[in-house]
Amino acid sequence: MDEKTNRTEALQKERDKIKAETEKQMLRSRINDYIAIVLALGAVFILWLLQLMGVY
Amino acid sequence: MALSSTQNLIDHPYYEKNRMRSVLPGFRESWPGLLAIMVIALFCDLPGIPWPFTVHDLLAYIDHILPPIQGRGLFIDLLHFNYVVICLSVGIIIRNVIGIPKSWEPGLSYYSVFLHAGIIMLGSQYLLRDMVKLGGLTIIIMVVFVFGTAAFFVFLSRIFKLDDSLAGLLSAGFSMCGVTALVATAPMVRAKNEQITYAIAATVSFGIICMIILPPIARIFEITQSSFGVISATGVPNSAQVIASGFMYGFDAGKVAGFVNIGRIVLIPAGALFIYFLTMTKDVLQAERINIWQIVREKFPVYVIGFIIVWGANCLHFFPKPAVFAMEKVMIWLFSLSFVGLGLQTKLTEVRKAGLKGLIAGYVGGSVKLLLALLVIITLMKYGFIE
Repeated sequence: MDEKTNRTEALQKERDKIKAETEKQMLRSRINDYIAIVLALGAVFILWLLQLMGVY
Repeated sequence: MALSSTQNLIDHPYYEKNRMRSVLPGFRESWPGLLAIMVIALFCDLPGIPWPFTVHDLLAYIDHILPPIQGRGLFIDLLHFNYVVICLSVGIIIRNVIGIPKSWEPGLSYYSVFLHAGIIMLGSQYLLRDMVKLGGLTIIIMVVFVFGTAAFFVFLSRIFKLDDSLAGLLSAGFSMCGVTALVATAPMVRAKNEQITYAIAATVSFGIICMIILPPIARIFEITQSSFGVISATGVPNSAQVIASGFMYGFDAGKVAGFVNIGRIVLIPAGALFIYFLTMTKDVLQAERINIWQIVREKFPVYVIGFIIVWGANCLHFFPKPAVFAMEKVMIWLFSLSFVGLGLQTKLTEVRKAGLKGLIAGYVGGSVKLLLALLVIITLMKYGFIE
């Protein structure tokens, strides 16, 4: 019975660790997405503005 | 009470900011890697930037010296060494032959930022009529391939007697857009860390092979640019590799591949749920009450919104022609940076690490999917259903 409880606890610990790790990866991926949006929309806005000002 | 105060602390903006900082390497750690990506990309050839010596110039010079093969140069004309192939090859060679310092690693992890920013800017190259041209058939093909591949991989994993979690991971990686979908599905199918690493290795290594062999195969069958874009987006697992193989074939193929791939990315939450229901046993499904809306919200890739904004603005003719042309250049710069970063992160030893059983299952399933995609698209192309 004890062995079974220990095994269940170890399994739960492993699951929590993986959950934390994948959550970390998902958060990083989300932040990367936000940076990409700012970078791309910023570039689009600057290019549009430069064109409007007649730079090219 | 204690739980509520802890929850308040977690929800506090300061905690959220610290949590973000813990996963995002700062500029101090990242600059060597970012600088390396930029310098290498500059030497590979960035359009519009005059640089005295580039790998592209070197290959053109070698082609000039060597006797022409059927009147054409070896590297540029016959092997189609464009900016995608050059950036990727240079990155892979540096990583696997020379090696890279550890200080580069944090900066290299930003390669997906450049890729996603490039995909957002791809929206400036598309109009509503381009989507109409692609047609509803393309959307149907993509949806069928995503869910069909997911189900096929679960079936294949049962034949190979793979663990349900690994089956779910391989299914997510190969049916949707590789690593992102795989990581999104991992907690739902209760995957272990080593299984995640294993599935990533299998998906990425298969993607590399696809990226190399698919364009030459398509040239043999004289597949059109548009059709190749659809094949690439349905058959190649990772987004970066989809875009790379598309642009290797040609600019229009790359554009279509990127556009169709957006549809596949949007399907991540639905695909992850589908795989969860396929792989988990009845007991687990009854014991766990999952919140579907929360999963959709958590797994949705937000950069797609950026793409829709740019695409929408272009459809409404916000950008005049010269601006669209400039955006195309910037998009190529962003893709060049991301491909150099991808190459520098590609460890060829990962293929060995993946082991045999899961790798065979992944490769068999991936090959069947790719062949089927080729067959379906070539048939539809022949009968004039797609361009």
